[in-house]
Amino acid sequence: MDIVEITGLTHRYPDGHPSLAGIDLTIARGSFVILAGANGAGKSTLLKHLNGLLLPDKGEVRIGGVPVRKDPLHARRTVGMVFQDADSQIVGETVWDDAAFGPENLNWTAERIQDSVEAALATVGLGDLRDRSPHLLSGGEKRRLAIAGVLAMRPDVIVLDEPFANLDYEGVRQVLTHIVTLHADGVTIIVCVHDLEKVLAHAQRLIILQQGRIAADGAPEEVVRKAEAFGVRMPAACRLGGKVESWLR
Amino acid sequence: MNENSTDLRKMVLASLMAALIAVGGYIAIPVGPVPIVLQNLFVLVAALLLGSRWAAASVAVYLLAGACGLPVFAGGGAGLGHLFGPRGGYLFGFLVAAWVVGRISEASRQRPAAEIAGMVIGSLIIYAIGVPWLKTLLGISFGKALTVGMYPFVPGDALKIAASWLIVRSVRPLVHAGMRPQRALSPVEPVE
Amino acid sequence: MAAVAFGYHHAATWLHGLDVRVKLAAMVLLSMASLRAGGAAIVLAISVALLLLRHVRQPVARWLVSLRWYAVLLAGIVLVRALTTPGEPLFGMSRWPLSGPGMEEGLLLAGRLLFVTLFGLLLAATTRPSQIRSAVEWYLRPVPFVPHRQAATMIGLLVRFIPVILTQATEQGEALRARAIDNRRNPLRRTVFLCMPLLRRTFVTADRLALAMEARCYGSQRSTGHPWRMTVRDWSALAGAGGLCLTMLAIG
Repeated sequence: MDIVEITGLTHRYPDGHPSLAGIDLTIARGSFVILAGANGAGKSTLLKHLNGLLLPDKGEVRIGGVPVRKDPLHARRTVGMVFQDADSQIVGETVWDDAAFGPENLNWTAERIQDSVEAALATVGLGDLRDRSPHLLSGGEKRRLAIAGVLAMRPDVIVLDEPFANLDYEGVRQVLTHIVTLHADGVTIIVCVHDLEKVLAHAQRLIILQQGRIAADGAPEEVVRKAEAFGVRMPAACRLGGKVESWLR
Repeated sequence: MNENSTDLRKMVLASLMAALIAVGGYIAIPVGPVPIVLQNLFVLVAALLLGSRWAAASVAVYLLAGACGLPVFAGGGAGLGHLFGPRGGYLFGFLVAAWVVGRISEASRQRPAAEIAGMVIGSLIIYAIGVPWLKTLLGISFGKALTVGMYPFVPGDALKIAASWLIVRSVRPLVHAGMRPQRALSPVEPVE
Repeated sequence: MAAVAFGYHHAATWLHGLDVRVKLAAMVLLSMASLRAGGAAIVLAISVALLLLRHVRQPVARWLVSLRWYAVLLAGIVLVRALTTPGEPLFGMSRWPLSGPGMEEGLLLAGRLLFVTLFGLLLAATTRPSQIRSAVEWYLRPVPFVPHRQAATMIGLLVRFIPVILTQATEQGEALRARAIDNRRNPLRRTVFLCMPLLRRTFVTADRLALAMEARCYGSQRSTGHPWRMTVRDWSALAGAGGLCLTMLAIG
């Protein structure tokens, strides 16, 4: 079953300039999708439609069969979103508090919150840092906390906007490991990047956006050959005719 | 966007302005004999940008957090000791000033002359509460209280009012931008 | 810098385990009582505070450092009082007529402030910010016209973002100095150059934060999260604090 169904999605900036022009897209449950494109191609705008942070000017977005416009809360519970700047999405004074923020918003019981937060922190390996102030975490740890904060709400889909920005090698590997593990556990993953290198080896599908339209869509090894025409750098290994190696190796 | 998210945005902004006011107690620009402490500058800026209600809420949250022992007051000490201490009057003055300056700005529809006059009034309010407080606490004459608690800071205040106005003029468009994907801000910004 | 701004220091002591609401109430009651207390009561109160201080095993050196400006302030109060209050000079010297009654008054005042501050520090050092936030929410609940949930969220955000903004301010200052801001004489420009980017960043942060909170379903319906339970220990601590207040008022 397709968990994300988008038909004829159009969105304009307040100044009238179109940011998304007639997007048709379905994403299957349990898949690992990369959404790529140059800066300003409309990636972030598209992502914000998935959980009702933006509502379509025209067209429809359905999550798990329910139109986002009708029930934004359902969409937000189903699609967890990890934003690019980890620092400005961490709300809590401690690691534990932050992971509990979403579940508390959902008005869960104390025990359920407890269980869910424990599990989420354990999944991203932050269980030992539960009382730490988020400010004292490393870049990779902050990003993992942002993921845990979303994970604690038990979403079916996790959307990550530029999850590797500003991370060192170790940070990239940590975050990537958790993304891959989550996918293996059955969570649908949508990763939005402008540089394919770090994540291409793990994806099942690559979608390239250009000027608010889907320019290419298909298996990563095929689509990547056309990447440069649409403003996305082709990883060096592909240029030489090979395959991109996993960063986890 | 809907009512809720505008309110949420105001609340987040008011909280961050409160944090900025707290930080303003720690950072000073070394100019002349009396360094310029940025705290009341941020109070004025908050009043103009947030309006009376949210600016007062912002300062109130700052004071409440401080009163309960959260370490938001600069210069050491904690909790009620600070609020009852020599600087307490100024801190309470911030609360009144934030509301009054915000109110003046709203009533005048953000006319520059009115806003600058409002900030002058706001600064005077801070002293009107702070100086008598200092006088009572130290048991000194009114003239001495003014010499210690007001005159040295007046040049700095004039400068802060000018700076606040310049800052507000340039930052205000950001407040009213709304929850938007903007063309000016590219979707992938460098992360700070 | 973040370490300076945050007083909580973990240890497994009796005071750490106490219900936060009791600690908060005790702090307010004792502060009120100290305002009316006389010399003997203040000496008693400060000794109690110092005993508690010993009990909670805090890094005393760090405390003294963070208190140094406050100490200067207190010394200033004593000095000003002693110099300006008319009365019998304490020493025979005529250049610095420190009057006896003034000295007494100043010491009393400084003692009161010191006590209130010590208790504030005790509270801050033994209580997590998030616990304080929950307790404030609990106390605000019966107060009309104050949205207690919102207030608690705002306090949480305030605590969370002080170190972030402090770091940004430091970075901003360094970036300006790297581009020779020190050569600028005009203080207005210097102020604006420092504050403008700081505010812009704060606004961008606020925007992103609000968006992220919305994405995580922030709304008025939230779980309270904190299960409150008063134990015998909490009740007896509250009674102890009340007793100390009454004693302070009684011995004047």
